[in-house]
Amino acid sequence: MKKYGKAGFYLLLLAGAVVLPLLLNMSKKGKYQIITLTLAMVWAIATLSLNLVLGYTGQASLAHGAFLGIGAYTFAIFVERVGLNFWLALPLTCLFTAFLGALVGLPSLRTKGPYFAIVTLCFNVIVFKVFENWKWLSGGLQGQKVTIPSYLSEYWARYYVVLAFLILVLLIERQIVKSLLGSTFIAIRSNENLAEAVGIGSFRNKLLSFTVSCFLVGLAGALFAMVKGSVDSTVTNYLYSFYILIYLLIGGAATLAGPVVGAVGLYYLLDRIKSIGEFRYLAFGLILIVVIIYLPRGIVGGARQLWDWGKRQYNKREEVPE
Amino acid sequence: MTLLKVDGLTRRFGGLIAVNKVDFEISSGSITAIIGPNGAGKTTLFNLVSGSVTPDEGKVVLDGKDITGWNPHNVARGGIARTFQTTALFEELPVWVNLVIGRRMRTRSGLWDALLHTPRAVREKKETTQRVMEVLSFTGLGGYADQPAGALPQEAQKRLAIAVALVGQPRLVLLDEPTGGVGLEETDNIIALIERIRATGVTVCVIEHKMRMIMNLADRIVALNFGVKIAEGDPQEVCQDPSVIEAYLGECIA
Repeated sequence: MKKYGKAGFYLLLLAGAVVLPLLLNMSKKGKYQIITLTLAMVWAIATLSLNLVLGYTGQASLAHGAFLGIGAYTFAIFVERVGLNFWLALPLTCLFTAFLGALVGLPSLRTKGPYFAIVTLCFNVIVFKVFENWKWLSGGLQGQKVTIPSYLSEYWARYYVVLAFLILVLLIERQIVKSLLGSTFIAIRSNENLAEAVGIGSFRNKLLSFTVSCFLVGLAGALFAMVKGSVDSTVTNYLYSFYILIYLLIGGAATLAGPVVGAVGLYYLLDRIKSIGEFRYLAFGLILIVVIIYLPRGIVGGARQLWDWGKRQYNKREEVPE
Repeated sequence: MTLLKVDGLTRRFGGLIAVNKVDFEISSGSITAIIGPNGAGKTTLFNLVSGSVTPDEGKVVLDGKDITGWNPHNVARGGIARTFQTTALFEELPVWVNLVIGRRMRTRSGLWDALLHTPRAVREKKETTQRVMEVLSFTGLGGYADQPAGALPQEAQKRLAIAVALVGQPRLVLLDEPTGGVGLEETDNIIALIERIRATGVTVCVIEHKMRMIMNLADRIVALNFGVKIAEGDPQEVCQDPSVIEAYLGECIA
């Protein structure tokens, strides 16, 4: 019974996500909002990818902005300069990003904790500088155009494509996290020395987690290029690494819903208050401070605690008459 | 039959020789105790055997196989499990998940099994659950299964640490002060557990300070002081050894 309730809840959410564009289309600025939501879902995929390596495996990568940009450019170059088919370019982009991720992970995962964060941040800065200055690669100020198939030229079609991929990534991450491999990752996050002592090769598993994470963020990059229709060097900016990190922390690391809630919620919110200009980042900071102090497990973690607390109170009330 | 052979094991930390040419043997199915004053090198000796510290000289041989300098996770896979002096657990995770992780090295399913939910993934999950249940009841932790490991009482945490070591079916377990910080009555629980472990055919090596406990429990005792082995033998012999009395005991209580 309880299980059906949960499935029903997810189906309701899905139905809501499917119907939403139809409702929004009736309003005046509907098109703009649908595009905003589409981009928000792309960020949700990127945040889910970081969740695997940071939330579950405990390795704070600050290179995900770089890999997002690399994914976006790889996709653009595959489609425009190599002339690959859209649906062939997509998986190839993911594979290429994953391969680069493994190459970067090999040396950088030898470091631990804050050192790993710094090494990956350095990588991101280097990638950003390369794309900024190497005009042949990045296409200079105009960037690189991305042609998409005509059946995706409508903004709402892209919304549904991104939604489908978001659900796919959620399912993939769920499968991993609930598996024995997932428990291996969580063990490394929880106590790396003990994990080693019970026979878990931590380096190998961290590398696997990082590589899969890069595969997923490569997908986010490719979808980003598809939604925008072009990419320029700003997409590799290390600021995006921090955005993704903040989406994750606020939404709730090591939960499946957290990255989606954090990325979609914050991206949409920040877009709504665009009129106040740069001041909106003050709100960013404020939310972050409040969440880190009062909700160490993010919004989703906090909601879960509240739910458990409510359930305990309810059970207590039932016990009293006996 | 000799299960573990330690031969001339030496480790220096700067000018300090923490473990100095120590050799001893552990025979299959026995309980061996390692005793000595604080700073005698007992824990370093465990670290050398389990691979978390690399020896400068000497050899560690497990069942005829030289495992000197192996990574900790390979030593664990080779059949030596250990616990830590300051109880190490996956604290925020439920007790049963701690045990699932402890069993992980005996399962092989990886990324593809997770994504495609292969028959191997299903089978290994089932086997793991079975083994976890066994160990939960063996160590008397069944009532705690769903609680976070860090929330357990001290003595239960010590038993859980042993359970995590046992669930991967090692041949030898190294227990670093399994009763440290545990009250007298509860100590008996853990002694009984160690005896039951031996009864299942697993060899035990234990670092311990409570002499009364060791006298009844151990088949053999190795005494260390300043990194050097000062005595070895059965409890009676070691207890009456003048150098042990001088270094450690003050007087023999048996």
